[in-house]
Amino acid sequence: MRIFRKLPILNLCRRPVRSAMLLCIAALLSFTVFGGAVMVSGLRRGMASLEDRLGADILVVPEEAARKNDLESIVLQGSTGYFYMDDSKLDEIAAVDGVGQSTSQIFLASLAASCCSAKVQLMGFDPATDFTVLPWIRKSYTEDLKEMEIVVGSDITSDEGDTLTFYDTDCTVAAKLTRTGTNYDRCVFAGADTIRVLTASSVGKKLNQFKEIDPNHVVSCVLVNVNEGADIDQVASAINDSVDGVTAVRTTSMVSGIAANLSGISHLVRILIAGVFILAFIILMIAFTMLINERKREFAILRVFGVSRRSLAGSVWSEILLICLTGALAGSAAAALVTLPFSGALRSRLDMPMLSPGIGTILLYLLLAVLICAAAGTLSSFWNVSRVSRADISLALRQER
Amino acid sequence: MILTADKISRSFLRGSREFCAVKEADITLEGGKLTVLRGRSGSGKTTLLNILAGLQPPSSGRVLADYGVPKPENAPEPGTGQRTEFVTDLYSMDDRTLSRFRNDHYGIVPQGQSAVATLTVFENILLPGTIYGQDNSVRERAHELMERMGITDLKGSFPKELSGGEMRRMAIARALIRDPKVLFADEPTSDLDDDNRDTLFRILRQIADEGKAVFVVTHERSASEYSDDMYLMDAGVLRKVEPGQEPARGQ
Ligand SMILES: Nc1ncnc2c1ncn2[C@@H]1O[C@H](COP(=O)(O)OP(=O)(O)O)[C@@H](O)[C@H]1O
Ligand SMILES: [Mg+2]
Repeated sequence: MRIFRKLPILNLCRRPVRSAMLLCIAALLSFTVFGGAVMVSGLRRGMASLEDRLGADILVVPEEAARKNDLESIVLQGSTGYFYMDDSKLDEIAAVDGVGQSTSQIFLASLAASCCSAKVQLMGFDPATDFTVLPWIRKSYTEDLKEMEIVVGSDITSDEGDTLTFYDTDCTVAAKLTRTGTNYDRCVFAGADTIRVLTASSVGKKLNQFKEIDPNHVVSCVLVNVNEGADIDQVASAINDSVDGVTAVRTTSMVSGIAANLSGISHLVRILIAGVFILAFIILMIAFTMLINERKREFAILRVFGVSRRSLAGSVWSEILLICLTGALAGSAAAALVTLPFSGALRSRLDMPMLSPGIGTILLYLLLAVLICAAAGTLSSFWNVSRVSRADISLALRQER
Repeated sequence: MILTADKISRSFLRGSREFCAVKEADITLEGGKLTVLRGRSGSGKTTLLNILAGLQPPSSGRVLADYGVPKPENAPEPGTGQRTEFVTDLYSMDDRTLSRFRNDHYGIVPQGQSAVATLTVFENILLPGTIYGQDNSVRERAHELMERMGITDLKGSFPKELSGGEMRRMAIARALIRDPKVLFADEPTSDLDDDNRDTLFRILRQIADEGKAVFVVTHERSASEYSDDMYLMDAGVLRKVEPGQEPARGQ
């Protein structure tokens, strides 16, 4: 091994404090770039997956559930609220002018008690009329659901073939769904027949409060697609006018609201990335300038021994690149550790759908972050390196000794 | 190798005025000779040494290196016996060639502390030998030099753990690692006690006796005991002192 070649790495290892400080700056830079990219892309993907699933034009819920926040979280987060109405409303709604497809869903809560395998949200849909949940389930499971068969979201720990018990009633897991980045990932889906059985057993356990509604005819919400050519807003207000005790809202208005919100956040994240990048760039530049000034005499001594300008520049470059690359890897790894496992927490914090990018995309971002960091280091010290390699040896030797 | 300075001058700008640190100096360094340069602080000694050592171009004049034998690339035509290009003008070389020249032919001990702080004593000594070649070729020699300078025990120490005398001896070992033709030492005994100073001059004398040209800049009057040639520098003017003509103190 040639000592001169090893000099950059020896300088790093044998000046641990100095190296650690520079590494931190480089890591901060790549942390922001990588973390930001993953976050923006996660939001994008969450949004796309949401739009995929959002087949309905209008959502109808009981009046008492119509607080705006609840509605948004039902539509956008796949939250299930526990509110109920009689299924006769479905027929009333179907009869409104302009209503095309319509289907009902029912939400039940299970408990972490002995009667249930886990505390999850149950969602019943009607396979005969459904047009929102089923197309999505079909991506993972193409057969019809038999009685007492259920489909589980990706966060539910059970797998195909397992048995889950709700209200002392056994169900078989027929399929597991792909991730959506919404609360649907923590849902259990059941067809109309199965959910009726479960509803009845939950009443037996005095669990779900249906008040005066007949448990066999209870539904939580109705989803509506309007006829070709019909105006969605008009149909929604027609439902509000002619059906008692319900509220109809247009789902796309919420989606466009959240889309605007999302692009606002992406924009913010981008500005943040740019800001931190510029800041880290300046800090790196100052740090490298100080580092190189402090070591002017050391570099001059290398020149005395016969190191040419070029190879001195090469040696200094190597040291800077080594710092930037190591820092970039550390920073990206830290960002991956923070953003990926906690994307769930981040999602509920932001109240936004969020879906972590695939491993390919993540690797691409990693590469990008490392390259950007290396480029920043290179650019920020370009002037310094050329300055040090051109420095007057005799003058540099006069520095404090 | 014979190194000749031919009327070298060096001036600097001080404010708007030109200031001449070295004035038309002529000096010759020869293999086997220990040449000592003395003079007051600020008289231009370091500037002259740097110019001779290929570290700082003169404002005018030339520094000529006479290899004594034909350089391989200019080997004479067989039979003609004619030698070409004995002599190289240092500052006509480009940076790469001059850097390589320093590495090949010069050993330089700069003024003051000159250790690379992140390298051990052994690594510091090896360093000049690894810029253009492999460690292995100089490891053996590094051990011999440490032995000779009495710093073998300090092999793995870092420079900050060394005393002034040890540091200087390390710097000399490092300067000798490539077996140079010329050794330059700029005030190698400043901040050393008498014993260390005498040890150092004895070592430098030995090195000259082995055939190298040794050029030492110093404050020490006692240096004349060891020197073959003695020069004095006063406000940029270089003067050769003939033996026995040493000016008395204060003159
Ligand atoms: N690069 C430089 N720029 C300006 N002045 C210089 C430079 N190098 C040396 N000098 C001046 O030249 C004079 C001689 O310096 P130097 O050769 O270091 O003297 P010495 O080694 O004898 O103490 C000093 O007055 C110093 O200030
Ligand atoms: Mg000096």
